[in-house]
Amino acid sequence: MPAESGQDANAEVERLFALVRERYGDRLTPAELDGVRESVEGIVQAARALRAERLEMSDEPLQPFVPYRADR
Amino acid sequence: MSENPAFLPVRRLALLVRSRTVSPVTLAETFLERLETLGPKYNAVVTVTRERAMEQARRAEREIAAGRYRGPLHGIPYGAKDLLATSGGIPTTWGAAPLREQRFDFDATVIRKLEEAGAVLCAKLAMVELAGGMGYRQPNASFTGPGINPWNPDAWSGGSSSGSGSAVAAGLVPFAIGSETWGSILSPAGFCGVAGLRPSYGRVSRRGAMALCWTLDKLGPLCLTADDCGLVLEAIAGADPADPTTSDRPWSYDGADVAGRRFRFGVIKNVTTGCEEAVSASFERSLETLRVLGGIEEVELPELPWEAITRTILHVEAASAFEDFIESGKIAGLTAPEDHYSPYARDAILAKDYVKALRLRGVMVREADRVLSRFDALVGPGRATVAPGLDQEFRSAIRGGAPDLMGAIGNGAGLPAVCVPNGFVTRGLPTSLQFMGRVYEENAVLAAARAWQSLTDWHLRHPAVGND
Repeated sequence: MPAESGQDANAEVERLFALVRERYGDRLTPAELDGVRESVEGIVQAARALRAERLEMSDEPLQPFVPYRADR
Repeated sequence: MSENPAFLPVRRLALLVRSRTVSPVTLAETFLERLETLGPKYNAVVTVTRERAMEQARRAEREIAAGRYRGPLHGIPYGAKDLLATSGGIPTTWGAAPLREQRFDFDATVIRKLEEAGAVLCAKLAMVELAGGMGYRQPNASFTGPGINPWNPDAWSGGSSSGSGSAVAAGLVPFAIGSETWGSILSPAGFCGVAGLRPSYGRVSRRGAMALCWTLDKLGPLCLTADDCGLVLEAIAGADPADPTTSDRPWSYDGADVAGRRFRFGVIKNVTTGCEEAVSASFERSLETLRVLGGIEEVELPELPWEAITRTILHVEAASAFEDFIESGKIAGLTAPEDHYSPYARDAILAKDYVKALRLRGVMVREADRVLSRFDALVGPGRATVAPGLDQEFRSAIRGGAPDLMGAIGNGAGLPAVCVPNGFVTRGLPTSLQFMGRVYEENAVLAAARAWQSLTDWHLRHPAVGND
């Protein structure tokens, strides 16, 4: 897996910010959009920290699905 | 009664009530008046529930006179964070201007349990709008105004359980209920110099509480002492069929004398990194006192993105819980300008990254339990700073602007922690110490905090309020 560089991170921020701007840009001022971009930067930073961790396939999400029956 | 009840702990008030030295009606009237006259000074109150309080107080008085004493909360006034549903036409605003007329036709389980214990609901207390889940950056983030600190009117009371912290500190109620997703009990307790207990996840039913993050939300007490936190937790803890996340492990408060008990404390390496100098200094002094109580060992945690794990889960769950509110644009009606746009950014969190956070949470809980199994508690500063100024933007681990290792692990892994004052420093503001324990070990952290308070007098100091 290629290392994720700072340049890649900036590109990811721009792509994800574009998605958010596309969805909500019409209701936000330029200053608010700047605030959104800052938040997206934090999200990408956190995501990259998560992606950098290696796990075993057996490391399941700690939120197991529980089947349901109304009479049990 | 010759003692001023305003700053008496629940344990002491209970003795006075049980012995009929003071009547629940008199107590209710005293605290209702304080809430009405002093509450606005701290922006601490949303609704004073006078009618319900007097009805409950009169009932308590009749029952106690008839010999039907229910326990240590019988006849004791309290306030509830305004995210707990209350019946009878009392608003439940979640601190948010667009919801200031919101009402429910039932009581949250916690409110019901406190009623069964005989406690007297005197007020719905102010809070940061939507429990801070929209990303606020400064104290003015509630339609009731910024929470004002009783120790310094230019400082914030903390959040998101702002009124729960300031009301207890100012003697407006003997105890209060708050909630914590990440920091919302420990922050106001620490900034206001009172005791705050974040119970284990699942210890207290959240039925009827505003949902911010289903896998992170906890309800717990704020009181004058750690001992009082135990008394209140015993009344509100327990399984609830209406909240399937509650634990069916029975729990009762062990308030036994801790004199002579030896504790094992752990301190996470570099736990004061990012703390204000005054906070670090208070903590170092506290370690000297803690050595009287037992051994202290430095522990090292594996390198993991602890804050990123909990933050990612929080952001995704909050965005989903408030999907309609956010998508509809109602967030534009919130008080904090940054709450008008911050939640939109969470659409940028990818599903694969969220699931990775959930998988890493499994590593987190195992590592936390491995470390904590050797100790009664990990100790650290309750907050990294003293209370910021009312007009000051603050750093937050939830936004990624500050480290909060114990907060990230404690909330991500659902661990109990109690926060108590450990000094007064800059601008007359308190600093705090937290004891964080293994899951379901509230009695261990409370015992440690009681032992701490038996050796210190920070919790006996109270701000100058009114004519006290």
